[in-house]
Amino acid sequence: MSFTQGDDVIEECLDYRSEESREEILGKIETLISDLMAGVAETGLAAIRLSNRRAAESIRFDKEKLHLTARDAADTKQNIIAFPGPTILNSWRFAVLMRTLDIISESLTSGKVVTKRDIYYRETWLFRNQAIVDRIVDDIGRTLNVPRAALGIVAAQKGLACGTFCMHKKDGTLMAVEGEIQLIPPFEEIKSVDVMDIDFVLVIEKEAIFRSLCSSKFYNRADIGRSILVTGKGYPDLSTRQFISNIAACHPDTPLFGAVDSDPYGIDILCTYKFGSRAMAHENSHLTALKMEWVGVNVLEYEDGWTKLSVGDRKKALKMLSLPWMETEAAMAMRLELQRMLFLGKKAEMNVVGTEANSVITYLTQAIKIRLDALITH
Amino acid sequence: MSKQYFSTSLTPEAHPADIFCVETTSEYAITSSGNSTLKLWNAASNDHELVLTINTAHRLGIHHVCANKELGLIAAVGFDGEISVWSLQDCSCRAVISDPKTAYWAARFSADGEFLAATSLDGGITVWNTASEDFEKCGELETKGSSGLAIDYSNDGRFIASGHENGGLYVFSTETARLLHSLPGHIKAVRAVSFSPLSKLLAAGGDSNVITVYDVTSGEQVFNLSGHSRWIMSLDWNFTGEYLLSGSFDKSLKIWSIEQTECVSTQTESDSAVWAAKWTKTAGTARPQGFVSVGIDKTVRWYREATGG
Repeated sequence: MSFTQGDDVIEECLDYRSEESREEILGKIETLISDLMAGVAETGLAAIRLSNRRAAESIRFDKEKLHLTARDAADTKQNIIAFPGPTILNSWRFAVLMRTLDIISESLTSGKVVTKRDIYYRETWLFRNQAIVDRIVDDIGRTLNVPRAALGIVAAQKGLACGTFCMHKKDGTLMAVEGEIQLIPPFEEIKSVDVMDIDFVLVIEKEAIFRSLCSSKFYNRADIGRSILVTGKGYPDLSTRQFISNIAACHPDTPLFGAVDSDPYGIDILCTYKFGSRAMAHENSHLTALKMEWVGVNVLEYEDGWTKLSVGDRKKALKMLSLPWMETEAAMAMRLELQRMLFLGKKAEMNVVGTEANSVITYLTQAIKIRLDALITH
Repeated sequence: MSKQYFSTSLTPEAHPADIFCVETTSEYAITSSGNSTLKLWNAASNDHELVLTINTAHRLGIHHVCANKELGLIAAVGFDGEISVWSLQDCSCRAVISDPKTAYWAARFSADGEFLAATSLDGGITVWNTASEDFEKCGELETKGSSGLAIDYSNDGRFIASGHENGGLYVFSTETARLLHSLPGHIKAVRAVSFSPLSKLLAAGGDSNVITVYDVTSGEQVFNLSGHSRWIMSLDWNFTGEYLLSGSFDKSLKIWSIEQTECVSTQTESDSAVWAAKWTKTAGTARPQGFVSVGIDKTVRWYREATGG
């Protein structure tokens, strides 16, 4: 289960801030739904043709390349999923399809990448098991003729952890190598996590910064002590949030820090760890880590390196400011940060803090040291 | 010759969030904050106590505020992009101005109180008639589409100046509703514009850290004032037009002599960025004109000139 560079998980992780292709796929989904509505108006029956990518008719053997390949969309076997359907099973399939399309549109609109597991956990009573989700997602991809990653869905877990800890998995494997980057497995595969003598846990938004911290052995330093470093690669998946929430709950005295970009997405990612996500509201009690303390970056700390807040950033910031819990004491620092971004029209990425090459590491070391020292004096 | 100012009074934790703007009238200093309230502080007394708090409907916070003494009106602009207008007499809300297509940003009343003008994030400037029941729109000024961050109305009512995110700096004639000058000198955001009391000069500043001063009629750049090390957030002329007050992201306030074209006083009491500063308007009383500053530290600071020095 150990993680090596070049694993397809990295490539599959989309840039959740890019907007172009998302628009196009959202358009395709809209067409699918408007065709459906037209059908309802005409026949009184809601029906969708869904490509069945596993049916024998959908697959052919490529004699040149010597592997199985999908036929052209036109030749793919199509299942008609209708509501009300001829059987209860058919109606249920329709509900599964609609809910999945809904979740895909939502993730495309917000730009958040979700894993198949995230989708299953959104509606466990509906989907019944993970395989149903895996299948419907692939069928939707085939029907819309786009790769699954373009739907904003990744297959595997994407969270990474590194540092001094020891994880026992239920299948008997032990993950315990200090300094080796580990993929965070689904919560139910973990038997226990032994955290040995650490001084803090640091969650980092960006994978690149996480990796440079790991290679500089940030998890074991003379000045700030030993730690576990975690990244959710942008918006964290369920496994990462469960992992963090669990460590926070089991080690109430260990400080938990979050390092994100000073832009509305960075603040939203921090809020996802701290307060939970709206998508998983029914599970948030096991997923949040309210005590996570924000260590930066702060838009005011920059001497240079700001970029202009885009129209999309402004919208995102305003939407976040209008959330009711943004007025609570716990969210005050984030609220002020969002307002300052809007007031200045500027945002700042973590990797350009300071001017020297190692400046992110220097910055984080100082930010964490100040907070650890403050804990000692109290 | 340098001048001496000293801090006479300060109110820490005046608001629970950043104080983004301050406006002064002969009676009050009015502060606007990220927590959706406007606060009115007594400008005439020694301890500058809180007189009134107005709870607005700008839930996302307020950034700009302006007032007109003649009309007894305050206009507040929120992060929600809306402008709310309040009566000073009874603190009632006179009007809410909003446009779903854009967000308003900085606003100013004309000196006679007849008009209210505001910039918006899509670059346009809108002018409203304050005498009409629902603040009827009476004019629109076109710019090149970059967000308008600053606005001022000249005292004689003849000009409107606007500063923009892309460095654009414009002077409009209110008589013809036409662009009079597109002023060079800034390639970065212009965050503050201010006409001199006699409407002859215009001062502008922003992310270039330099204050540029122009002749309003000819559009000529007359001189520059350099000294701030970071962005200039706010500019205001004293009532005689002899001094210009600037507030900066570099945490300092500076007073510039127009005659000497140099900085005559620097105040460094705040340990964080200054968002806005204004001269008091308690002129006519015996005391010399002072100023008020606000910023990230949530504190309202009052300053007065040291006399007999």
